[in-house]
Amino acid sequence: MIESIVVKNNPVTLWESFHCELERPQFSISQMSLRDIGWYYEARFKLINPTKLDALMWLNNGPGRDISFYNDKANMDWEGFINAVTLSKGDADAKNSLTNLSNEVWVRYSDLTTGLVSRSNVASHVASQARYGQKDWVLNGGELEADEADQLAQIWLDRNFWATPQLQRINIGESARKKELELEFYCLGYWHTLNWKVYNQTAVTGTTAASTIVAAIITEVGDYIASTSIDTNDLLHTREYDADRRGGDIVEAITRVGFANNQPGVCGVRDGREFFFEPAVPSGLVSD
Amino acid sequence: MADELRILEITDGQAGRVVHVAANAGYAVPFGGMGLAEIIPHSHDQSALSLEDIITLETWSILIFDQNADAIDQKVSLLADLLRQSWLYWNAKNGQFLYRPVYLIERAQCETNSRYALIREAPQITMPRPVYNMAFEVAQVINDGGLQLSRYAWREGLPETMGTAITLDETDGPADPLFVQVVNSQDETEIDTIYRYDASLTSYSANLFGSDHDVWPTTPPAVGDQYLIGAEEPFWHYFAEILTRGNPVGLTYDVKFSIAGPGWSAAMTIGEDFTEFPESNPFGAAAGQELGFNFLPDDTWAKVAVNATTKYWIKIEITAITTYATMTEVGNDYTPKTPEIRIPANTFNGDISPLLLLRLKHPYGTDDESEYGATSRIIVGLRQETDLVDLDEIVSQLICASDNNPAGWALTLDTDAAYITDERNPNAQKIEIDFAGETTMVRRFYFEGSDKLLHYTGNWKVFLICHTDYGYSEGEINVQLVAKINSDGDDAPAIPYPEQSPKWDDTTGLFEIIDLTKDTTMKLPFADTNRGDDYDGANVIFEIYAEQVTGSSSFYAWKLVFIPADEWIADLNDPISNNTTGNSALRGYTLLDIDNGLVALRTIKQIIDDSGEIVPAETWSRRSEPMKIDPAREARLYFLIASYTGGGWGTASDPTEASPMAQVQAEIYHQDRFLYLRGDR
Repeated sequence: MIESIVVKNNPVTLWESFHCELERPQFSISQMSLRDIGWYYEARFKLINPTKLDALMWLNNGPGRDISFYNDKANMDWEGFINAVTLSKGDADAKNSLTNLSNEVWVRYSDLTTGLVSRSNVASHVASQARYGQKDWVLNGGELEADEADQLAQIWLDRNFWATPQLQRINIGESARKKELELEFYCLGYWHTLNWKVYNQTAVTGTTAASTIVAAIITEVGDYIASTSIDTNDLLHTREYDADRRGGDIVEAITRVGFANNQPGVCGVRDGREFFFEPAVPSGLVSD
Repeated sequence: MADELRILEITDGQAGRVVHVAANAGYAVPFGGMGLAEIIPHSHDQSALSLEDIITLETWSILIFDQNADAIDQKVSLLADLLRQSWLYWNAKNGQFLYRPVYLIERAQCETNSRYALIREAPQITMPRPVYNMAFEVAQVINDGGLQLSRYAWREGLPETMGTAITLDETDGPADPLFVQVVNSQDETEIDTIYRYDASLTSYSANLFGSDHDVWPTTPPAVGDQYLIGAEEPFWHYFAEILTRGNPVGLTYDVKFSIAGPGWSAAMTIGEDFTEFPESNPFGAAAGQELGFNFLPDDTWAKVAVNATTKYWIKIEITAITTYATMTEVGNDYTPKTPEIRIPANTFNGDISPLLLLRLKHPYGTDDESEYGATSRIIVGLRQETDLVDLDEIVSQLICASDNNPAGWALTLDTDAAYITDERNPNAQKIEIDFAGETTMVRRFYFEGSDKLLHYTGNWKVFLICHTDYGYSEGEINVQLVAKINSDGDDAPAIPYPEQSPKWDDTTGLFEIIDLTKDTTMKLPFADTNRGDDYDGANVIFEIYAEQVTGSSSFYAWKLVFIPADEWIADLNDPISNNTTGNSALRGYTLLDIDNGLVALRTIKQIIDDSGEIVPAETWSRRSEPMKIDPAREARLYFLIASYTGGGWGTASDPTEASPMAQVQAEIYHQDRFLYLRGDR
């Protein structure tokens, strides 16, 4: 049983200093999942009877904070970050989420002048990256002029660079009688931050060992990864990526191919933001 | 004889803000008007405990009367205002700072002692409408009012008060202490020699150990005067009761340890190699406290002859002094060597777990460096005695040395394991595994507790304090705990725990803590137990396996640590609010309060300011449920105290170190809690 939830400041951007421990009577957990690809995957809980001021604080500043769950043996059962906070009051819901936040934006388009498939200039928001970390967004522009593509990237950035509460629902009917405040937290494991950045690599061509590629991807996109444990996997994979694919998606695809001797692979981010990549079955238990 | 009169009041403790229900002062409850008390004896023990489970809803009939409607208005207004304040205290932003708590005081007729209960809120007050009501208009009485109160359990004292510390069982210090020194050691070493050295006379005193004595040879002392503490084996703490408060001005001193030659080390660095308690320059601390030094000599510490007495020595030598009009006198000197607090049976007299505050006071020495003198993590677990489990049979730490473990425990070396000399462990030994013969995961050494299984039944967190060689990288070595029952044979019932890898080499993690039961606990025995099971003669075995995956580093083990996890366990952690200066760590003039509601439900670091006042600083995390203790039974709290490594104030991957010089002074405050009456308890 989860006895304690500890919320701390974003451990990478350190834009604030925050620490809060929620006691068991204060929360109700509805979901806490681990997966073979990802490990700590997602979690959901509600804060019981929050005050109005606390609710507004969490709604505005909660997304992005580090969160960990501890059981009655003081062991950590789950770790990740707050991805979204939803505040409900019967007649209206407001939600603040990192899902659509983007602070490094560009457009892939077919240039009307040259006919070539191109990328626009990258539109960046420094303050947003300082607070949340870099979160890439790639738009499909279709057929555009180059300056139009640049404008499209900038417009998208301007609308999505900051996580702000958005009104989700208004209910003016009978069921909209005044209710107690409800505050729901949707948390994701740090595995999901591997999909915050796109991985492209064309400088070196050919193929190489899967574990080498995985290590390179984590180095490039793993801003939230504190350490790695990458088992050797000599299966060959291409080293060239130029399709603006997410780093985590590539790692997942490589993991699903597996290890030698048809061993399935697992990967994810576990305690202490350690990324791991290893066979699903320990090597000592596999017959040659 | 107990006062015959009943007491029933609602108040916030301020004069003029008391609703005297039982004093016939305008408020009353008709006989039978308080209904039934609903008691669920186990409600506070249920694992599904929530705030709502420990709240009692009282429903009263109430009378309010006075000379006229205006006077009744004042009474109703006072009652409503107090109950509104009770809600604000618990629910308003910063309510527990802005508002006073509101509570009930109750004592039944002829009951000896009063009981107190915090009021959480009043869900409802019902009053008849004041117009066209016969009783109100004719007799100025509200005679059929109703009052609902949500309150917490009865407690023995006022809210937000700590009272006095409980008397503990002694560990290594004086008898019947109100505080004990908790350290990271568990061994049999005793200090047995204390000398003063008079630099002007170039002579030593007689052995002062065990007697009350002045610390320095003359008043005032002089530069070069020394205070020497000696023991047959390495030790890491010296404490003594201050009998007379000294008043040193401009006193500075070096702390050194004996080295082969014979000679003395360079002066140890405060915060890094030693700390002082209770304050900087403890020779001026108040009488009644204990002054202490915690130190960590390196592996050149040697037994040498001083004054023809061969011991391991610690020397405190004066380097400067301005004045010292009154000499510091000490007595009851000893070396703390127990990582636990012992609470006598029947200390708590309530019906359920008392409200408790565990206060840990920290030694002085560290500034903003991440070093042994600062504490950032304390793991603590509770175990209570039963008619089957004898707490004296439990040791929290087993030493990786050929001696210094209690009777009944045997340590056997296995593949590639050998004792080597190191003065930073009891018996001046540790185990080295050099992997010369075998690099795969095989057993390296094991502890066997003869007839100990019964006393270790339940769940435990198990930690190994260890280090590697310089240049080691994480993953080159893996270690593993295997628990066995009854024998160390290959066919004995056994549970292996997940493999773990040390993270640091010895320059960064000399006393690295490895959680051998990471994400789980060690459960003994391996099946559910029953009082009818026969444990007579059953042994328990703890085996350490290790492999060298790559590289050439050896692996070194200092001690194996057990923290009970069944009744209560907490992993108290520094929030690291600033990872450059580590300002949220425990250091000098700070203490940590682990409070399950005596003052407030919180785990909080507090600062002791220049005037001795205690000021709240910031919150630590407890990572578990609030502390609870069964009131009837003897209890022990077992500790492991840890600092961040020299690599910095903790990133996500930083483990913590448990150095032998870690120390906190522990005391416990409480209020008993009752389900119904208090009587004369």
